[in-house]
Amino acid sequence: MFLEKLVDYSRRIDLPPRLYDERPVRYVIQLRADGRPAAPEPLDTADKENKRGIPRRVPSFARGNVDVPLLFADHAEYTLGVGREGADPDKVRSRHALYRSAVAECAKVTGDPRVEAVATFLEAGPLQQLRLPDDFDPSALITFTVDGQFVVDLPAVQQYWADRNEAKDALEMQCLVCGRRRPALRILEGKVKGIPGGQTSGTSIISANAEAFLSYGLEQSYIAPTCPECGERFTKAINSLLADRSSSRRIGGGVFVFWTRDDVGFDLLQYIDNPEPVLVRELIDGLMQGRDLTKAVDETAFYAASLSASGGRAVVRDWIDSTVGQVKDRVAEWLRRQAIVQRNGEEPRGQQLWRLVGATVRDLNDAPAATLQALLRSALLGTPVPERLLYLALQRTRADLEVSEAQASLIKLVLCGANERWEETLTRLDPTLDDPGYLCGRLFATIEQIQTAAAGGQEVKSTVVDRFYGTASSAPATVFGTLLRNARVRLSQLEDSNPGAYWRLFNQLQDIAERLTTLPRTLTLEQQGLFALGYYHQHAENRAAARAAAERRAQAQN
Amino acid sequence: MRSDSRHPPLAVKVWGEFACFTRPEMKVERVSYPVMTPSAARGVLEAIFWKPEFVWRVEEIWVLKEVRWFSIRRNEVNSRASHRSAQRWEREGGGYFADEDRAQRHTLALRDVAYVISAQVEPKSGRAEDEAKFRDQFRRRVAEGRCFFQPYLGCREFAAFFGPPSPDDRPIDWTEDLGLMLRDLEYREDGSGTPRFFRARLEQGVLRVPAEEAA
Repeated sequence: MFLEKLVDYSRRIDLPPRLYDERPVRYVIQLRADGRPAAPEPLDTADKENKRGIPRRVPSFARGNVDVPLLFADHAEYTLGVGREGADPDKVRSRHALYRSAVAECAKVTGDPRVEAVATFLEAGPLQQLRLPDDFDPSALITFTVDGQFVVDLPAVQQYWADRNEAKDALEMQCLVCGRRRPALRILEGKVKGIPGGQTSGTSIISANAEAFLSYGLEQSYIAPTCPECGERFTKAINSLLADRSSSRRIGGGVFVFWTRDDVGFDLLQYIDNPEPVLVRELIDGLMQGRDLTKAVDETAFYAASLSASGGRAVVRDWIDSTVGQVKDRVAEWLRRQAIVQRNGEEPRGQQLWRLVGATVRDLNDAPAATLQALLRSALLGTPVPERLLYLALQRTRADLEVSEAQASLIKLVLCGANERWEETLTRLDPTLDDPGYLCGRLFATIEQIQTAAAGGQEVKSTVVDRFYGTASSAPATVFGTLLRNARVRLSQLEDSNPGAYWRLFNQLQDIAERLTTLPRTLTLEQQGLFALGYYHQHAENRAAARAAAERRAQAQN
Repeated sequence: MRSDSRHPPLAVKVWGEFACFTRPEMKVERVSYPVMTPSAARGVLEAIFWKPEFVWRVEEIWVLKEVRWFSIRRNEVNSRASHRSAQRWEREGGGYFADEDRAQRHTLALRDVAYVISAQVEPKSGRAEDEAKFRDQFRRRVAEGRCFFQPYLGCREFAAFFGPPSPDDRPIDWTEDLGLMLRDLEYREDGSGTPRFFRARLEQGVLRVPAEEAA
């Protein structure tokens, strides 16, 4: 289905002609209709910086190590018989001869006078008629115009090029994309560019380069017979999606692409890449009300795939076939699930997708493709996020000695997916929640605040967080006894120095301690997640309270 | 030679923890079709009962459970096991070291699947008594759980369990075009095969396999 939908998509975009591709062409040899140069020097289109020419659609395919001329768009060895430094003169001569005869044949078949002009020019010896610039680069592509018309753009030339390269000895088989009986491709002609982790020259979707990958006694790409047209179309379509930042997103070791069957102006990225509160509200409101007005848009098919690479092969890790409406609803649900109060206590919000991925690793580039895949699935299909991500996020909180907003958000997302009980809670501090993990988290945050307050603005060298966060969040019983004793000592210090803080923190501590009937010896993974959230919520709440108090004071002074 | 369809089809229920009905276009980094293919169904039937005197014609595949995906990456190898190399190692020593021939391959497969396969026996002789005999034999084997080898769901390592379908087995409510699907292979004398495809459509959880048109 993936390939079929890509072929459908290729019909929507402006595709280069068959076996044409966009490549930088540096030199243009301008000819007159009689085949004589209109200018003594080829036109150099290179830009100053990287000396690349202007991109044009020109004949192109993977030449491999076989000598085949690329008609009207090859480098100087083929086009002019001028070799690179150290090139084998025999090879240069034979390549130029191949090029000449290819042009001559093209002129004969097409009968186009402009192609004949090029043939005439080549027969008369190009080097005798042209003056090459001093900085001539023999490895750059050269093309021709005749009376100002680019020869590569002529429909007759394009047709000739497609026919000439039609596989002649190919096995005729049923194409698995279009279902027609056509000559099948032995090897796919184009490469997929832009999938992280693959070879730099590109990857292939269909590839059987070792014995164990073959089937039914068929070699190479014959195991999955594809006709040249479909093969070219799906390769160009995926490349076009991958090259466009509005239809693909690369995170860590993976990339995902997405598109809609028709262009209906649905932009998924604005929701998951940078969820603006207004848009999120709109989306969630839509979820609540149901939406009939935009039905035509909502029924449009939506496709997404997450891809990674293994050497020369593209790996389809996931394939999602849905509709715009469904995706909207699920993304709304997803944003609702991960919405969490901000660090400083301000209104809850959702996180950018890459931040959630980043919440599981030290460096975003280390994120395995599986993480992105799991989060995308949860966003687009509404599947629960695997507990493994909870584990990874908790590990990060222990290493970082703090709970970031993205980590809290991811933890909440995992917990909500795993247990319906949490659906409507966990967005901000919930003073009525009696889960021991959650209470321990809140308690720990309170103890930390007591320590900070007792230090009275002086820096604490080794905080309780530095020393005890790991143990407190996994095996509370072992450390909380000591922590509470120390906290009471510090509180009594506070009583004299800062009575306001004393009473506030004393009450907070009492309140949590009363609810916490027993100190658990160990916390389950879910409880550890709740610990992190309790810790995060308590801090956010306290910051909000502190801010509100400061505002009240400021107002009172005015 | 086609059997007349006077008989109700033979049916067997198969289920398993995992399944991968690999799409040929993504067979190295495997991606499964969302439902069982006719050739995989034929494989299951042949594991339970097969004789050179008849062929199986799969007519319907019922999907009994929601499609669920999972993905794994495994260390596999680049070479195929060859009987002849094994014989040579036996004679002359030596062996095969998988560690030196590694290929990491990703698989997007199905989990927790169950299907009912309906199929007809087509005796090559075309004699009705043969057909009745084969049908009875098949029914007995399914009822007793006998098979020539353990049937599997697309990949050898994904074992399938089987039994007679119960009247409660209903296909799931899912209607969708699945696009082109591998129907089966046309085998030649030399053992090589040409894949054949058909437009697959799931109608209320039922995949109907149209009779093969002349190639």
